[in-house]
Amino acid sequence: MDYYRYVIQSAAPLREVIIAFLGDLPFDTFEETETGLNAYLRKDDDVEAIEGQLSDIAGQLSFSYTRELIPHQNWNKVWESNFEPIQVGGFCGVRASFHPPMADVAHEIVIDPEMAFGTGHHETTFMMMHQMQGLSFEGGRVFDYGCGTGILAILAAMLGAEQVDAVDIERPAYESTLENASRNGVGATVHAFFGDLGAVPDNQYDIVLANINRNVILNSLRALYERLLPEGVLLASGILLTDKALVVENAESAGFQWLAEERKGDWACLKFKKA
Amino acid sequence: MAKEISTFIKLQVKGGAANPAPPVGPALGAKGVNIMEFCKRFNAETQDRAGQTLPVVITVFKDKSFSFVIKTPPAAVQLLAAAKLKGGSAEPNRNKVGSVTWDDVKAIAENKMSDLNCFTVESGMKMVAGTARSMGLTVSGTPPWETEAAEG
Repeated sequence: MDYYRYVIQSAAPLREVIIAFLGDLPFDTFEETETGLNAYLRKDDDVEAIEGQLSDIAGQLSFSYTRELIPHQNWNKVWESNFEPIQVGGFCGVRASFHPPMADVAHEIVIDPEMAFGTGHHETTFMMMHQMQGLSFEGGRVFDYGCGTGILAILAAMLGAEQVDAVDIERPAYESTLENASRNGVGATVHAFFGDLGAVPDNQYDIVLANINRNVILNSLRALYERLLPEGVLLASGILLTDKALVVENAESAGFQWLAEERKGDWACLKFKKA
Repeated sequence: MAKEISTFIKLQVKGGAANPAPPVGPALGAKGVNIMEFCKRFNAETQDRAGQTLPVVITVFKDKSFSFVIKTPPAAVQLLAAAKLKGGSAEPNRNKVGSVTWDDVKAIAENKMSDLNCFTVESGMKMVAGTARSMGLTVSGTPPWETEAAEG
């Protein structure tokens, strides 16, 4: 995705006022600089109309700005070019395509993230993979909700799942899942979708994997419950320990039975069953 | 031993909405920080403030690790939200139809006390009221210190 950067020159006291008004337009992230601030807009937004409003605000608040095109690129390239392979015991390992093959793991996943989340380095992904070791995927139907790089969907396919649906609201993640599934030889099993829950066919699943965040999980609990087969399992992470009780309470209200939890750092991974 | 600092990055990001696009991507990525790890952490910590513009100061260390501090939304952002709740159009300067109350100003000043360069709530309120005026917002009613003086 290409972006426009608006370089705004303004005195310090005015900057928060500019941020307040531009925050009402589709500018949602700002960078403070020594001479003002930078605001960013997606190139495929309604740039002409938004610039009209920006120009009005600039006139009223008396600031000047210039525009620069920021072409799409993999901003995470530096980290991705240096990351170390990771192992979840002897169960599975994750490496990039530039690493040599890993000899001492049962399942080896090759991930080139390209700005999508999920390399196994983060506590939440690590715990999800660790918890997957204790589940039976053979011949099952699986849903990876918020798939990122597709790492969990790929592992589910490697563990014998018959069909894995995967969805992400971020286009780079959707594209990354397609590429990584193919790279790992499970492209025929993993079906990637771009969008929210509504973008996924109304299938029933044995296992749902959801490493996203608290609010998305809370808002989706009932829908996920409906999509699970009787006795189906929900593995959820992306949840801080401070939010665990809230998620468990809401999951139980939605009909889930809380089976187990794993903790790593400040993060929790929760296992539920459709009661 | 304390880790060696590489740089500080100041951003304003909506709660729950950090993503690797600019400016988060270029600012952190150029330093070799794992952008996705920052986004995951920031979004998790701001689930209660989803959609609010939040100042965040990120410290990047020489070993490519990072830490960050999230502050309360800028006074101007809070003022605009308060004016909208009252149905004002809140267009800057052009139409002084947006308004907030002194109770709003006090609540915002108290919320921002740790960030404002002042020692009392009253001086904080004067700063917030000044910001309101620069936005074209009217502060309705009488400042509490004038009411107290009249009563005294």
